[in-house]
Formats: sequence, C-alpha cells, structure tokens
Amino acid sequence: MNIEIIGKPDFSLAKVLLISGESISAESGAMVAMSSGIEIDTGMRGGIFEAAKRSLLGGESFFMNTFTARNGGMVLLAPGAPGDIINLPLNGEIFVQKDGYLAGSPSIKIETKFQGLGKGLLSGEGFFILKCSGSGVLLLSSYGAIEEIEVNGEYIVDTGHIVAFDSTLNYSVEKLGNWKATILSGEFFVCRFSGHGKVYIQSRAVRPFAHWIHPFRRVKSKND
Amino acid sequence: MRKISILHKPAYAMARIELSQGESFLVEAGSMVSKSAEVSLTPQKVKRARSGGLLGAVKSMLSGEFFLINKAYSNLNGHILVAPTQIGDIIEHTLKGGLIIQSGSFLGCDDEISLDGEWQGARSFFAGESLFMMHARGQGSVLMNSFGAIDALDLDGEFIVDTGHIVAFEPSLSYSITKFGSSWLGAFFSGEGLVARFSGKGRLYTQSHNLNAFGKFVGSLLPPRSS
Repeated sequence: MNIEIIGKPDFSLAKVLLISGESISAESGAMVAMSSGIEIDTGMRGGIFEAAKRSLLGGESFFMNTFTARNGGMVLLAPGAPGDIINLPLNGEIFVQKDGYLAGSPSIKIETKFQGLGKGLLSGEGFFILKCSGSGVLLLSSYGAIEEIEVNGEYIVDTGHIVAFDSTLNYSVEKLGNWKATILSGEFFVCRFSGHGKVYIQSRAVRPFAHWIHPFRRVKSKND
Repeated sequence: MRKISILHKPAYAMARIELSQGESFLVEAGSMVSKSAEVSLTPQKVKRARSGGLLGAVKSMLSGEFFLINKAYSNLNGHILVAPTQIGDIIEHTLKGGLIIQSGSFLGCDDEISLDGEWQGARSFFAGESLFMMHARGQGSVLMNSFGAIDALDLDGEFIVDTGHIVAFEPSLSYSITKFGSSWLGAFFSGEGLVARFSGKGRLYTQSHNLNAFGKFVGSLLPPRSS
C-alpha cells in the first residue's frame, strides 16, 4: 500500500494505492473517487454493538466502508471539513478524538472508550474517545493543520484542539488556573498531558467557528 | 531569547512563540492552542477598570471600559502556540513607533509594547465595524491574524479600503470614513457601503476577505434560530 497526501494542510486528500488483494477501511462518506475494479464492503466494524456504540457515543459513522483491490487500484479519501490529514503507521495503540478517524487498515481495532464523567463534562468534547489498536496504516484528519508535539514531562492543550495522543500519556481535564483566571482568560478547560509520547494538535477548532456563525442565522418568526 | 515562528501558512496559520526563562509575551484571550506546562497564562487588563474584584472586572468588560488579554510567562524554557478562530493568515509586524489594529485582528505582541483600546468615534460605528481599535506603541513585534490572505501596502498619498478589510495601519496615516462613489444611492446599491479613505505615508495591512460578509452569507443559508 502506498499513500500520498496532496493539498496539505488546507485541503488534504489521501491517494491510497492498493496492490492486488490489499484493502483499506474508511469512515462512510470519506470516498472521493476510486478505480472501477475496487470492491466495496459496507459493514459494521466490530459487530452491531461496537458499531452502535461508535456511532451513538463516539460520533463516528455507524457503517464503515472497506475497499478491496482485487487487481490493484486507487482510492481517494478526504474528510468532510477542509483541513489536514496525517498518515500514522500504527504499531500499538493511540487515542483519537471522536471526529479524527478517517481511514485505516481493516486489521486495526477501533473501540469507543468512556473517558470518565469528569473529563467528558469538562472537555466539552463528549464523554467518549476512540481507541485505535493493532498494526497497520492509520489516517487521521483535522479541521486546521496538524502539529505533532513530543511530550516529555507535562504539556497543556486546549480541549478543542486535540486530534490524537499516544496511549503512553496520562491526561486530565482541568481549569487553566484559578477560577478568576479561567473565566477571564477565555481559555476555560484544558487537557494536561503527562509522561512520554506524542500529541497531535490541530491549528483550528470547529466549535468556536460554529458558535461564531450562530448569531448570523435568521431569527425564527411566527410564520416559520 | 524570544523567538516567533509562523507555521502552516496561509489558511491555517498558527504562531509558535518560544520563551526563555523569565520572558513573557501577550496573547489574545481565547487564542491559546497549547503550551508547555512551564508557561503560565495570566489575564491582563488593557485600560483601567473602575471597580475591583471579579464582578467588577466582568461588568467593566461588558461595558467596554477595558478588555482582557493574557500574559504568557515562562518559568523555564517553554513555548506557547496561538491561533485565531477563523481560517486565515498570521503576520508579524515590527513596530516602528506605533500601529493601530482592528481589534479582531490582534493575536499577540511583545510584553514591552503598551496597548490601549482606542475609541474610534462615531465614524467606525457608522461603518459597522468594531468601536475599538487597539493602539500598540513601543518596540517589538506584533502578531496579527487576517480572515483570508494578508497584504501589506506602503502608502504615500491617498488610498481607499472597504472598512471590513482593514487589518491594521500605522498612525502616520490619517483616515476618514466616506461613502463609496459620489452619491449615497450609488454607495447603497454598489454593495460597498462605507469605505475608509487613508492619506499620508505609512504601512497599511488589508485582508482578502470580509468576515462579516461571510457570516451573513452563510447565516442566510442556515435554518432560522429560535433565539
């Protein structure tokens, strides 16, 4: 399998070249184009229970498409939002923010993990996170450009800017400082990582953008 | 030694500010993406508040007497990453005296720089833009973000800019708000509305896109909100 990512970081598109017999799984809706000889298998990865959990709780698609090239071919994949894609060859496990998974080897296991009540409530990013494990290719996507940070000790990230992080890292969600500083700084809750490993962050967050656009909507009138 | 690098230009630009022990840098409230644990963020007031305490601070903030920015201070060597909410570029400007910045375009500056919220008077109110501009004075670097691409123009004479496209300008330039074209009817139907007429000699930064126009365009396509 050969993966080339073009249009980085603003409008990334992954060109996945498959040789005979190879396959790649992708989030439903991620396919942009593909060679005609490719077989598509739409299924619920990990069975109906895991698929339901992933879609209801993890915010990922219920169905996943697996593309298999019987005689070689190409699949073009892109996420819904304009942004970056990174190719992370996985050998072990990594935690991925719920919208971050784009595609990966079918052998990679994707589980929906409960982050804990406190982390879920405070982060504003939901109670669940995806845990990807196994070995193979893994493509992650973001809104904004992705920056890789090597953590050695402690590191602080705004909760809306996390894409993924190594499972070797511990994390907690906390206020930025005391209450006054938290309210006045405009930063609210942050994620404190500790240990050794990598954190992948995105240079924009989609939620603040959605909040910004909201007041531009027309106000509902009685006739609507 | 404080070092600024701008990553992922132009659409998803993000600024990385490396600080040595004891150094500090001012950043826009809410702009932090991530930081080393050694870097602390403390809210700072720009303009004086009338009353003390948290409630007083919030009240004054709402009434526009001052606004808050964060001071990033490094106890050891560390860094902070900052980015604006919107898609667009970031530019570093080295101050030569002063710079007047449209408040939404301010992203950060060296701690030695003094900042004031400057009332732009009725002219900016009628232009539909923010009432305050930030006036940066002193020596050092200022970081600005733009909606879209950013363009630097060194003016000598007169120049006209749509008010929604102003990022910043040097105070050596004077400006007045005027209608686009010669008649009010034309100004209304041209879609340009009010423009700023700059004159003098100095640097002007403009952005390729108008944030308010984009908001109105997308907002009109969304289902109505209940409140």
